[in-house]
Amino acid sequence: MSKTPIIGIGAISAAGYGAKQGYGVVKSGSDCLTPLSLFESGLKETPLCGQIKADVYKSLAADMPNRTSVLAMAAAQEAMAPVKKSNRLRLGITFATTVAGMTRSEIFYRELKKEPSHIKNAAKELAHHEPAACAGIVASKLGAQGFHTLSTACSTGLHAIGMAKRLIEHDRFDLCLAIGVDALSILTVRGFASLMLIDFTGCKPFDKRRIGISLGEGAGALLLGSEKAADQLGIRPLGFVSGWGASADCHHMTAPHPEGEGAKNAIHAALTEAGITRNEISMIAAHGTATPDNDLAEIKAMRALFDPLPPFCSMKRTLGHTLAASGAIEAVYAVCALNDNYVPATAGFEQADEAIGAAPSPGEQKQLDHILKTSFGFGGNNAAVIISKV
Amino acid sequence: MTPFFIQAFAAINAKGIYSRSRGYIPWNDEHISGPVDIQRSQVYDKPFTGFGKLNCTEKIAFGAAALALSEVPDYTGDSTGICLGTVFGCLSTDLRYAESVVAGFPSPAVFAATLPSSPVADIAILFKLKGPDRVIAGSACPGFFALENAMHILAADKADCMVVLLVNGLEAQDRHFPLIDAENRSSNYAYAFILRRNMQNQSITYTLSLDFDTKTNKSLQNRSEESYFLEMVEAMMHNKNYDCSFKCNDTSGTLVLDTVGKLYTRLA
Amino acid sequence: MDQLINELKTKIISALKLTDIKPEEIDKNAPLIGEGLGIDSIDTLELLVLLEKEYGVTIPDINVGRKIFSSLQTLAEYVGQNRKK
Repeated sequence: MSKTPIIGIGAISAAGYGAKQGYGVVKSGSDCLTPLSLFESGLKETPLCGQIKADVYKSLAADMPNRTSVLAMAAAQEAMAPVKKSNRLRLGITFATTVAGMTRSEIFYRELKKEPSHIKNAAKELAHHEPAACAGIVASKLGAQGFHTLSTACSTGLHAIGMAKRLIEHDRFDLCLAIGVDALSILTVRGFASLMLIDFTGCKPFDKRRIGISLGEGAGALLLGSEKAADQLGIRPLGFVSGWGASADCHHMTAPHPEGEGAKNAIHAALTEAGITRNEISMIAAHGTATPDNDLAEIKAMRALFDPLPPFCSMKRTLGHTLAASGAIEAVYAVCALNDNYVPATAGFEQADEAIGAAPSPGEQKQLDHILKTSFGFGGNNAAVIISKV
Repeated sequence: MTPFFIQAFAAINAKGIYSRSRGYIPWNDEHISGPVDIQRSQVYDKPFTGFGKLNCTEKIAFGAAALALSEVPDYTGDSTGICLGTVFGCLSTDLRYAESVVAGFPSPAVFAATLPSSPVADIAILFKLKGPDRVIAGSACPGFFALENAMHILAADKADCMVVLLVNGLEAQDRHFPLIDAENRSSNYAYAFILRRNMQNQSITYTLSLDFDTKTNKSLQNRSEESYFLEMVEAMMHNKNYDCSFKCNDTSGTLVLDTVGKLYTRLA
Repeated sequence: MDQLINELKTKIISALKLTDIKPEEIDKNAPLIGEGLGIDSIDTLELLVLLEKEYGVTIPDINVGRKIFSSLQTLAEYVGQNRKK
């Protein structure tokens, strides 16, 4: 097992375009949620969401088929900046998304119901409906030699990072870009609302009063490479992906295991791979979605594993829950935090919950050597990544 | 990569059900004409009230996994994971959910089932498989990538047993929906392989080797990934070795990319 | 009331795809959620959608809903009193 260099990072989210810029907003624990205005959701109440305004990415949008692809490209381009075209390095892409082209398909579908003759546009409108098609467009623009598309709901972003690490370890590529992206869509908003998982007034991670999530959109990209590739590019890595782990809860389709059993296993696997002990973890960038169940189970797992519990944060009130993108975007900001030696504050948190028994950091300067990032997806799919300092 | 071992396999496809324990069973009942009609009793002996709720993709993924796992009494749920490759997930479910939203009553159960990872969750929950799960969606050959991923996970010691699945499902009545191209998307199939890092103590095991080439092979014809898996399963059913050089093309048509490599399964 | 109970039985079996269960096997006084019929929390949400769609009945929140769903009898009584369709 090896430490895999992180050569480039890119992010676009409600906190802004650009990894450094977004991190500055996350660091201060700002609330970037706004009343949903991208589309008519059909809900009686308007939820607060992490939205990205069109003018932020307008220049990229021209020849992209849907918002998901635009956001992915925005993050990818930033992460790829260290790589000049003349390099003859083999580039792969691991692409994580759940929504993909649905942002466009759902509009087409509604119009089709009203006007059946629109069926003649189906081929064009649906050409990029599937995750692989969105990944393909980005791969094509970046001149990649191969791409893989992953979809395991909210944990997919970290899976993309883990998969990229393996592909480099097994010498399938010299560079591998792990991208996590999801755009807001009517179907997602209505779906989560039907599962009664949304807090319309804004999520409150780890807070006593928390009742649900806030949705968000965005993309995060991490360019991983072999040590040799980093040398060839003359780049000093921003950090290392030193450990990765995943597991399944075997509990329920939409609720986490109450004791966080699966989470513990994933974290344990990541620690083993990184070859570090628990007390070497300096900070936890938690999943912290603010559902009553997730936050409780997550911190229960953490407290069972770590004594004392390292400072932790959740970025979900700043960015919204960006679903498949969350692991990737939040890992990007975690890399920034690592190099800044700062534990970000957690927006939305005010009152500690005795049942959880711990409160997120108020924002603090601290020597950071290893950051643990966790994500938990629907169906009990857990993933954990350890990002280490160079 | 060093060879791994296939301890058991099963398949449910247009021709019938394949497994070593039950043999090859072609579809020959007018009421059960294909994967879409599969009954719980054909794939799993114990009661499972949740079977009826599964959509087509979930049913056949579950079925293939159940048949394969029934031949592996020694798997440890704690260290068994799942890698699933699918080209289209379940389009029927996506459509059904979209319909429910347009009608004003979004269905929470159908929403949860639109995730390509929902079949994995069903299998993990019922068989108590707590290892890493991964879903590869789309691309030219998600099944080969799922095999590769499973090998990476085993090589990294994250699990000692992986259930590898290649699945595509579409409800029968939805074939006629104009949005679905009947030619490309109408086949339903599920292939399951139980992959181990080490040889197990039993009568028949196959070694599996899989390598990808960096350059394309102009002399090979593009074929569907499923066609290779079918040949592989049929060879294993007859205790024969199987060797192939494969070439698959990106089916979403956005990027012309050939995925090329070699695969063999040999009696160990 | 019996007619409504029988109607609910059929609709629940259909909406939740409980293919292995027949209407006469559902005991109107037994707990609806949990072991017996294998109804879980997602199914409970589906039941909320069913009640709104078929009877125009809305249940204010999931916790109130759990009390109403404690048996088919309590559900039928609630629907009988509050139905708009």
